[in-house]
Amino acid sequence: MAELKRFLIRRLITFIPTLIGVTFIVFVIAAVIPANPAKMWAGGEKARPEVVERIKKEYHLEDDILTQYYFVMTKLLKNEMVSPVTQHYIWDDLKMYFPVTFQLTIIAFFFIIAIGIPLGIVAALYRDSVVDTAIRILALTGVSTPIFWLAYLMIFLFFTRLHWITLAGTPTPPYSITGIPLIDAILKGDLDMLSQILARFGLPGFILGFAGIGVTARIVRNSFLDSMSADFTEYAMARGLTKMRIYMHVLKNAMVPIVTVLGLMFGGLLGGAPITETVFGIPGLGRYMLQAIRNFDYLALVGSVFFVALIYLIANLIVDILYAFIDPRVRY
Amino acid sequence: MSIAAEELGEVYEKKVLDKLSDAVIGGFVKIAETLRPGWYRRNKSRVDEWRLMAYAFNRSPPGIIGMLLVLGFVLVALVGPYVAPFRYDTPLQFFDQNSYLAPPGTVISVPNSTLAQNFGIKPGNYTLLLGGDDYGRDLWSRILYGARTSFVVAILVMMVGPWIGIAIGLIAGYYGGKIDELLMRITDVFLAFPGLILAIAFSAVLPPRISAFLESHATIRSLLLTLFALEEQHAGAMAYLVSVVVALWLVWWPGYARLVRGSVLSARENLYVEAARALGVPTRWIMIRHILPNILGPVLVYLTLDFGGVILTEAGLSFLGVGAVPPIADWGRIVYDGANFFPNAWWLVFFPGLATLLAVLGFNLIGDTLRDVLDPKTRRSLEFKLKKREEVVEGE
Repeated sequence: MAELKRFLIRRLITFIPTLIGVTFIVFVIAAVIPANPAKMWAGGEKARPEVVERIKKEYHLEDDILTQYYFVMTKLLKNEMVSPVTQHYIWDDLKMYFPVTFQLTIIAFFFIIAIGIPLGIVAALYRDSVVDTAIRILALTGVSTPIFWLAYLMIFLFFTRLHWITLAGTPTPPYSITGIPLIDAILKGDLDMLSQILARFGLPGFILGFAGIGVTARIVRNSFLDSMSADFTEYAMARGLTKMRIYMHVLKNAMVPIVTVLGLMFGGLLGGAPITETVFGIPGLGRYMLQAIRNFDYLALVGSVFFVALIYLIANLIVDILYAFIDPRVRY
Repeated sequence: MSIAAEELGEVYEKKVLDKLSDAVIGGFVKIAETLRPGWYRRNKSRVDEWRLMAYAFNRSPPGIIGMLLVLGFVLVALVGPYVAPFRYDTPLQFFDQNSYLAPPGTVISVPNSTLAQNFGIKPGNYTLLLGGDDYGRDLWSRILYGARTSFVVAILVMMVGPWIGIAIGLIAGYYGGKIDELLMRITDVFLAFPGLILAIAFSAVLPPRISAFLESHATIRSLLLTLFALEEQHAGAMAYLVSVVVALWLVWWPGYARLVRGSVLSARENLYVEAARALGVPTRWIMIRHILPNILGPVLVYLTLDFGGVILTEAGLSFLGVGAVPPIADWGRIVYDGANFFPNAWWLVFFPGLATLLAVLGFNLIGDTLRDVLDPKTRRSLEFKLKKREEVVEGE
C-alpha cells in the first residue's frame, strides 16, 4: 500500500505540467489568434465603446499574455470566473453539463462491452474462418462510419418510422443521490424514469459507442489469441479442465491490453462527443465546448478543456492502478 | 507428391493479380536498373520481399475490396470535377423550379437563355441522378466534386502532420535524455487533449489569418484553387478549407511521435545496430540507414489508416459547421445543410454519408491488410509454401 501511495503521489505531480500545458495552448489559440474578443463579447460591430473598454478592464485583456493566463486560471479554479457570453459561473456550467455527458458515456460503454467483448471472443474461437472475417469487416466498418450519418439513419428508423425514442428534453428525476439521473433511477428502482432516460439517451449512446465496439472486438480477439497460445493454457488442457474454465483463465490473462484500450476509450468519450450531442440536441460537454468556440468564449473553453484533460489523466491513472488488480505480478 | 500439389495448388497457384503485381514490380525494377545499373543485383532480396508482400495482399479478399474502393475514390477525385454534369455551384432552380429539393431521378429542362450560357449549360433535359438540394444544385455533381475536396484535404494533411510526429519521435529516441523527456511531455500534453475539440478551435480561429495569407500570396492561392477544383470567386470560402488542413497538421502528429519513439528505442537494441556501431558507422547514419527503414512498417500501416481518419474527421468538422463553407462541395457540409430538410429530403444526408463511409472503409481495409502483410511471419510461411510448390512441380 505504501508503494501505491508513493506511486499515486508521483503520478499526481506529473499531472500539473500537463494540465498547465493543455490550458496554456488553448488559451493561446483562443485568446491571442482572433482579433478583439472584447468587441465580440460586447455584441459585435454595434458594440458601444465604453462597454468594450469595461470588458477589457474586467478581463485584463490589455495585460501581457502570461498575466492574462494567470488571471484566467486562478479565477477559474476559485470559481470566480463568469463567462462574458453566458453570464454564468463557468465551473457551475460544467457541473451542469458534465453529468449529461457522463450518462451518455456510461450507456455508450455498456454497448461497447456488451457487444464488443463477445464478438471478439467469438472471432478468436473461430479464427481465420468466415465468422472471423465477417467480424473483422464489421469492426472496420464501425471505425469508417461517419457518426452523423449513422445517427440520421437511426433517427429515421427509430423516431420517424417506429416512434420508439424521443428527441427533446432531458429527463431529470425529482430526487438526486449521485447527481447522475441514470444511476439515481437505477438506485431507486424507478423503472418509469429509467425507461424515459433510455428512450432519450439509448440511441445516442449506441451511436457514440458504435466505433468503439469494433475496436474492442479487435483488441479482445488479438489478446485472447495471444493468451490462448500461452503455456498455462496448454497445462489447463492437459489437466482436462472444461472448455469454459479454460476460456475464463484465458480471458483473465488477456485482460491487461483490453483494460488499457477500454480505459482510454472511456476517458476519450467523457471528453464530450460534439457530433453525437449536436445531432441529438443533447446539452452535454461536447456541445458546450462547441458553443464556447463559436461564441469566442475562450474562458469557458479553457475551463472545459482543463476539466476534460483532468478526466483523461484520471482515467489513465485508474487504468494503471487496475493493472495490479488484474495481474498480481504488476508492481508500482 | 501429387496430393501435396493439389493441396498447395489451389491456394498458392499464381493468380491474375499476382501476375499483375509481378508486372508492376518488374517494371519498377527495369526503371531502377536503367537509372542505376546493378541496382537489381544489390537489392534482389528486397524485391523478393516486395513480391511476397504483393502475393500475401492478393490473398486477402478484404484487402482487394479496399484496394478497389480506394482506386475508385482516387479516380473520382481526379476526374470527377471534369465529368460532373454541372458545376458544384450551379443553381438549377433558376432554370427549372422542379430542381428545388428534387428527389433522385427527377428530370428537369433547361431553356435557352443567356443565364444558362453564363453557367455553361446547354439547353435541354437533364436527369438529376441523386436529386437536388435547396438551391436546386445537382447532388451527383456535388458528390463528385466533394471527392476532390476530401482527397486534397487528406493528401495535404498527410504530407505534413504525421511527418512532424515522425521527426519528433526520431529526435526524441535518437538523442534521449533531457530532449526526449521534454519532447515526450509536449506530446503527452497534446495527447491529453480531446483532438476533435482542438481541431475545431484551430479551424474556428484560423480563417481570417489564412484568408489574409492567401490574398497576399497569389501563386499559392491559384495553385490551391486548381487543386480543390474551385472557381476564382470562391477563394474566400477556400480559406476555411485551408484552415482545416492547418488545424489537422497541428493535431495529427502526437500519435506518430509516440509510435516512432517507441520503435526507435527497441530497434536501437538490435544486433545489426550494435554491429554497425562496432564498425564505427556514425550514429546519424545508423538512425537513417538501419533504424528508420526497419520501423517504417507500422508507420506505413498508420499512414494508410489515418488517410481514412482524416477524411472522416474533415467530414465531421464540416458537419459541425467549422470546416467547408458554402458553396464548396464537401461531403460533411452537404449533410450539415441537408439535415434541415431531413427526413423529407433524405438523399441529401444519405448519399454524401455513404460516399464518406465507402472511401474511409477502403483505406481501413487496406491498412488492416497491410498490418498482416508487413508481418514477416506471414511472408515467411508464404515463401515456404511457394518453395514447396516449386519443388512439387519440379518433382513431377
